[in-house]
Amino acid sequence: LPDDWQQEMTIVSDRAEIDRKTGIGVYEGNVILTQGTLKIEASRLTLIRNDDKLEKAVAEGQPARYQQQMAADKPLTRAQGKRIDYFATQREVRVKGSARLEQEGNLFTGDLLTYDMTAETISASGGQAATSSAETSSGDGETSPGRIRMVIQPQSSSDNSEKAGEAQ
Amino acid sequence: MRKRYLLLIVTLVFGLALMAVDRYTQELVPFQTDSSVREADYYGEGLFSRQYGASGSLDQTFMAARSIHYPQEQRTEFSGPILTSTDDDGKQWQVTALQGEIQDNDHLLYLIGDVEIRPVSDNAMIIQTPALVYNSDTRIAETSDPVTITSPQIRVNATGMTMDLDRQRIEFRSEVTTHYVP
Repeated sequence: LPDDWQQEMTIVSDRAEIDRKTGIGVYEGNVILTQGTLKIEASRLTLIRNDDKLEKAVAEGQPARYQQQMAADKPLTRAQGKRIDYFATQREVRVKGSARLEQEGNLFTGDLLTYDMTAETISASGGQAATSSAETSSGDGETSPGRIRMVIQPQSSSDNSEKAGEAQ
Repeated sequence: MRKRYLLLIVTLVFGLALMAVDRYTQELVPFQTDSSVREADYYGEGLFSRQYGASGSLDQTFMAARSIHYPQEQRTEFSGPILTSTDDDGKQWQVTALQGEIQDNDHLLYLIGDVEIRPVSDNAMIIQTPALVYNSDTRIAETSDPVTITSPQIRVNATGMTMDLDRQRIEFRSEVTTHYVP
């Protein structure tokens, strides 16, 4: 939710190291970060804070997972990948490595996915064609290396009639 | 014949008596050495010591309300120890506890009871744990006990910690829960 960043953030982990001078905290082992509807799960999480505000979080895992509710009337947006960069100030999420993002029934997979929460845009890139073994995305779809895949749900008829009514 | 038996019995009784006396004296001796080991050779009130770095600047000061030195154990006990150390940025940190202990010619200061680490100038942070070992040479503090860190924005609970006072790096060993309050 828009006010997630104003909530208390809690991080539970097996180990942690905090460098008070640089403001960087590294959390390792079953790491779970929660802040409002934001939730990140990873095996390693690096938090970069500036003036006691979260600037960026880098989650790594097999896979690392992210979920957040963008608006009160919308379902959770979920993402997973080998690495997730969460830019708190820019309100942007970058998912890399077998990246997968689900939002309102739509599914995006590829090597790199970038989700801009403010503009509500998702950009995807296939990344380098895998030279050795074929890299397929997890889940039901097959993505050959270097390709992206999007599954966009058709708008339901009730949405269309509403729109038509508004247009008259 | 009867005289011989009588003599034998007397010798037996005498021998048993000797053994009993010997055992009694053995039990006494350790008790006596124990109390002499605990004997202190000096008592100090209001201890204050300064340690300077190679550049001549004041690195650390150590104070204690009372100090007692036990020569046989080569150990000194402190009441109300207060250690003040300056980190790389020139910021001063204070480590306090109810009791402290150090072996002669050693750098490891064992602090026991309500151990606290805090900056001297402000209340930016306070670290609390029941017991801590502070190496006055490397200026690294370690504990395997539960630790709580409280600051205006952050609250951390963990078990086991290593803190490098100079570099201001803190490592938590297990069961870490961190709360950031915006």
